[in-house]
Amino acid sequence: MKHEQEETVSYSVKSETGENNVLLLSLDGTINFKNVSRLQHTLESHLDDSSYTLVKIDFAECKAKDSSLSGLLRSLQHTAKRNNINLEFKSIDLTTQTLLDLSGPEKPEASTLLGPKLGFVERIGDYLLHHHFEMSGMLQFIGRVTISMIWSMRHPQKIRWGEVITLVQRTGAEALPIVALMSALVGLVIAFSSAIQLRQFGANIFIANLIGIGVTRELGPLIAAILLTGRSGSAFAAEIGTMKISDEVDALTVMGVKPLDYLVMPRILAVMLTLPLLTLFADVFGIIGGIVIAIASLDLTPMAFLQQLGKAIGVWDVFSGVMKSFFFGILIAGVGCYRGMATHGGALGVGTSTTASVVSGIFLIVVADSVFVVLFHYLGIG
Amino acid sequence: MEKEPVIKVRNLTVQFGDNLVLDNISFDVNRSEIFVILGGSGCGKTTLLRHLLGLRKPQGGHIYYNDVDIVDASEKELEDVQRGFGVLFQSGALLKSMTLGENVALPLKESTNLSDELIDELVKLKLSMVALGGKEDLMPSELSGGMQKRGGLARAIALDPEILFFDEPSAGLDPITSAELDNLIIKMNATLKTTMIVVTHELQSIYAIAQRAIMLDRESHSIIAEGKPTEMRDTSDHPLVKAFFLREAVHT
Repeated sequence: MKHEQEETVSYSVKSETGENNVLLLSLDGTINFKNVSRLQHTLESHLDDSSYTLVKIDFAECKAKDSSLSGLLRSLQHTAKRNNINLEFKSIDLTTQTLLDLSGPEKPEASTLLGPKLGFVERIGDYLLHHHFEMSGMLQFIGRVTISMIWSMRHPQKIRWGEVITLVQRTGAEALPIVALMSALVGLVIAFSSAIQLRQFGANIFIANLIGIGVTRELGPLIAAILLTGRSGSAFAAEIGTMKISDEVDALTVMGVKPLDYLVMPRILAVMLTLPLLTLFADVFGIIGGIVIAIASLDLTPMAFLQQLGKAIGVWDVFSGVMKSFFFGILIAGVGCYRGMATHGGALGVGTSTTASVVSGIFLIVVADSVFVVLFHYLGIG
Repeated sequence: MEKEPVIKVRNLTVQFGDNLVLDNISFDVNRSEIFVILGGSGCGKTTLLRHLLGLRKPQGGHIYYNDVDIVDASEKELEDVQRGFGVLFQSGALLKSMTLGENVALPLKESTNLSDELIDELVKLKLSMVALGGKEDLMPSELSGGMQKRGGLARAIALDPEILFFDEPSAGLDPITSAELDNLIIKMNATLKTTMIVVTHELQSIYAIAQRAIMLDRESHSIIAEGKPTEMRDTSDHPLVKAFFLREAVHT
């Protein structure tokens, strides 16, 4: 087969610099999507030259293979208008002319679609005006969940325990390996970085205090909560969001099934149950990570470490972490479900909700954790 | 047939932000009739349906079901009214995580105290009514578009609703399947005497099923014609109504 020669367009310029400053361009060749941008570049450089008041382009010798010429002509008209140049096209082929007619005249309001530019204060006002629904939606959600929660406590037989157990399996049991790995690694890293410092003072044994308190009070609950946000909070938002956009949530409502009781409550309950357990699990593995470093680089025996650990941490240290994680669980599941229920607008909406559930989930966990630290301190139990 | 309105819509106004969708519309739906809401794309048909279902609150107006106004109703009252509804959503809206049988059983399980055996029998009965007998163990993703809609219909009629709503029942179906669905709607209306509200823009469907209809208009946000579809076609002088029934483009 003969290799097809690349179709090119060449153009010739005859400038008529009479009293009217008229430029005449005539083109010949074939225009298609491949070569049109080169041509556009050349022609526009002529239009940007403001010494002409009228530019005529003659297409008599020029063929258009596709809609590229129509696009080119429209774009040239924009450029000409901007530069106050009158533009005339001559001998445009019938197909291109039809396409141009089809797309109709330019609508003047189309270019002002972006709206007026707002100042900083106006933007804040605008945001609040348009987003207060979001705020009231969130408050409504919190209120409804609270009512549902109280109602469920009084009617525990109405809770879908089967679903709760499945969710405990999904959010808890299946998260065990990753929680173990992550907390062991974090325990390891913390112990390793502090080992060097402790050895300088001969305070090797206090690695047990450091790891024990750090892991049970802060790191265990935080690692478990952040992993759960990523694994399950996002999954809740995506599941419920997908159901929302395919009308399944509305279908439940009109079937007389409250989406809040049917979808949200089991998820919140499941996470409330699993996160404290995951936290205990993370505590154990964080400490194991510490022990490994204590043996390997601080010459301690496991026995010595554990004895010191027993002296260092009390029931309160472990309990406060577990208690915090109970509230983190409500936050994670609540945010995930809220974002899911607030989803609108197709596949993109589900993506946005999922992202938002993780970002605001982790943010709220860290905020709540800070509140707890301050609270415990001022209550004198920290 | 006596004309007894079950649904009375009065001065309903719906707005999304600055965007007016429905402007002050009023109409009645009579008991046991097939009532069709028609109109071009984007005229607010589905929006109207969602308000009739009580899923959204309008900015103004009232919707009465047997003299209960669901716009001002408490959540409890709204739920009681909604208990009499069956809805076939545009996509069928079967819960994708459950089998077809479990989907149909769901409203029965949640709203009644029937024994599992009885529910099982009812599910089989409802599924065979929509010609899906023996398919109860399939997942929704294993069903064709037409079967998903019929499955959604089986779920909608699970609790023998007083009023059945259909959102674009023939959208995305081939002519044969959508004709079958139309026949099913007519047959169910004749046998069960259920009031049916159908949102659609399919001409064939409209002629086949509609006993009375209203037509919504995107420009004026209101009802531009009311009555039997054939009467609307033959007697209305509104250019949009004519264009709709003659399937013509409107040049404005």
